[in-house]
Amino acid sequence: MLFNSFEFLVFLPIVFLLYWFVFNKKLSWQNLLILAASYFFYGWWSWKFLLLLILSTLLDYLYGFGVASENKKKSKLFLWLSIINNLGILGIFKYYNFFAAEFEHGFDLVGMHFDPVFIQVALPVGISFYTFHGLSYVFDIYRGLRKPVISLLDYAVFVCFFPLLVAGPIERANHLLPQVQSKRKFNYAQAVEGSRLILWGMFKKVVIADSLSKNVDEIFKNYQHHNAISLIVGAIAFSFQIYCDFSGYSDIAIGTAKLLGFELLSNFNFPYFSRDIAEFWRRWHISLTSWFRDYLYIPLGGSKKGKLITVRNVFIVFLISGFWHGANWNFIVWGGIHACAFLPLLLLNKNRKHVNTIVAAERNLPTIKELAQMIITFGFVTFAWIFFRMHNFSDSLGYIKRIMLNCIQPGQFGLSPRDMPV
Amino acid sequence: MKKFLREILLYLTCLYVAGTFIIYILLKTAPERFLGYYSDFVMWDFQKKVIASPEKIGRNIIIGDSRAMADINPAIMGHSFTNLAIAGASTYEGYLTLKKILQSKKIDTLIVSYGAYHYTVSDNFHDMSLPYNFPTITQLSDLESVENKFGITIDNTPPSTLRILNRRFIYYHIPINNFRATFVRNLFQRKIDPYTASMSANSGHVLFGKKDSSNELSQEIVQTASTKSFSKNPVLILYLDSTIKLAKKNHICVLMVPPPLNYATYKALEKTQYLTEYNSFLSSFKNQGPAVSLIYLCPYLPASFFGDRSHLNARGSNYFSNLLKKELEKSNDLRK
Repeated sequence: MLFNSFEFLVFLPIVFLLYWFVFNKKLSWQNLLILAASYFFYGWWSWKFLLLLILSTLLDYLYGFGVASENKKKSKLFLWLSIINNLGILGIFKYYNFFAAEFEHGFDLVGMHFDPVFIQVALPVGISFYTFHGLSYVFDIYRGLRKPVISLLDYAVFVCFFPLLVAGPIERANHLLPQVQSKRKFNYAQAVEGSRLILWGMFKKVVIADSLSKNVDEIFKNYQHHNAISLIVGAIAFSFQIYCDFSGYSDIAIGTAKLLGFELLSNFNFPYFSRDIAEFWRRWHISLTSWFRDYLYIPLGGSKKGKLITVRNVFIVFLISGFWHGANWNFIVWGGIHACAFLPLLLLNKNRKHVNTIVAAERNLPTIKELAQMIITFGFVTFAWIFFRMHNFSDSLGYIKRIMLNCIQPGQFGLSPRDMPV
Repeated sequence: MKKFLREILLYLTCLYVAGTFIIYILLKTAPERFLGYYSDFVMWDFQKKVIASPEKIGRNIIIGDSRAMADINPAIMGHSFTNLAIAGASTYEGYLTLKKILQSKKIDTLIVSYGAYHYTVSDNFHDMSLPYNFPTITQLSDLESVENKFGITIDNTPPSTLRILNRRFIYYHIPINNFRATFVRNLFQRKIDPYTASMSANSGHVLFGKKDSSNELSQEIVQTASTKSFSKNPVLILYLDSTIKLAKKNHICVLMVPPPLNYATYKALEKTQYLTEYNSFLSSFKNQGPAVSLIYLCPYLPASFFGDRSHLNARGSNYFSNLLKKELEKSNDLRK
């Protein structure tokens, strides 16, 4: 079920009314309704993959107790079991065919023949999100940041909370679980804010993102037939499309959660007003970047083990972050590009320059310097988006090459004849 | 809570009513702008007007989808030919076209030409046929009876009361659950009419693909990514059969002319279950009596004959039309 669908428009009010008028007598009833609604929400897409979600939830719930063991070996064993389980699910459904194809290419390169078996299975919706929920839970237990949840119902609600299920934000156990374990009371201001966020998110997604997508698709699909101006405008349009699409979805998720009395983590904070790449990554998909920072970058040593290790860790995080978005070399390249821009700031200790300041602080407009910084950062991010948007590396390079060569071709932005249906 | 519910209901109601009213007015006053892509609307509107004016139509007609529009050029076939294919149309619209014309005109030859894809789904029914009011409301009801009988709709979804209701909203341009996407998109769209001049001058023939060569894989490949078999939609096949029956009843010679695929698509489909079943389906037309002929000119053509992934360019269209004309002359099926 998508947020911008007729089914969700019917689903949400029903859940809201049941939640506050029928099931609000007890906390367990509230959570039971949320869980049922979440499973219904997910099952609307696929009842088969709902079983996978339930299995994943159950396993991580049980692993949590093992990880909490005082026996360090046992604790580590269950931690690794959880990692293997979650990444295994992700690996099979999302990345198996990619690796199989790459193995095939690799063998071909050395003159050997390898005939892999490709699996024909749909990618379960939200798999990248709920596996990360589960992982963050066991990691936090392992680090002693929290104890395992006794109630399976509470844990299941944490993993499967339907506003988050499809596209995040990626919540943390220490942030969401306490809310799940406390009875929610209706708050007028919170509900109004939630409604406002939902409407704003719908506007961004449906009006801006979906409108831009048609022309963006046309330009990216037929970039060989557009001039440099069209291609630049197309790339900029994609920057806004992806922002409005993703942040719109996040707004709807956060707004929906507010209607049910939950406060979720913010996921976007005006990223295109960033003055450098480091600031951009503190403002874009905040829940994901902080997840990778806390559960990958810092455990790897962060920036505390020398410059070489720092460089290694930054590349690992950005490349994996790119790969998380999709099983394609282009996403990895996209991550690598951002790593190359982020590293100099980190190595020169300039990555935290704008942590405590905001653009145009105590002014109505940004300064010329801030404006230039924002434009440069936005330009770089837009350039990197080309790799994110294209299906393969050669097309990405072709797109950029065409801009650079500045060939003038017939066809302008928005006026090219539409690729007609059959 | 009561205050919140009251306010949110009032706010959403006002927003919805105002928005619906504005969109409805704009749909009624400027349908060519807001009912769909401007170029789609003008093309369908043009064909509807031609169909409604049988004196402008030759005694030999072509029905089909956009491949038929591009591939078969009446200027080469002869002045008695009119291309009444419509981009995005399926066998359903083809049947309605024939039925409408036969009310006031005698037809000698009917060329039927659809891409394989359009025997499996009518994916433009809700975007074009319905909002452009191609069928009458009675014909729409008849379609829904057929869909209920087969348990599947023309666009491969389960029939339901909700869908019927939604169709009525689309048909009468009531923007309750529809048109927002086209409305918003078309707010920023400039008017483009690249087709009607050509359609008018060339008796319905249009070149969609403008490239000199195209090896891009067509919709059939996209389809085989999700289904290995050539899954005919029973509703569409029923309307195809109905078209043939209607033609036979009116002593019209029916020529099934499958459009060619580009070479890359053909190679990708070769030896697949999809192509085997499609060929078997086409072969079934050989056994439908003397009034029905299968003219399978070429399963594929080189990339240089294609202007995009599905449609022949000028070179390809000329070649294909000449080939078809020669074949008809050979079999003496050409009606002057």
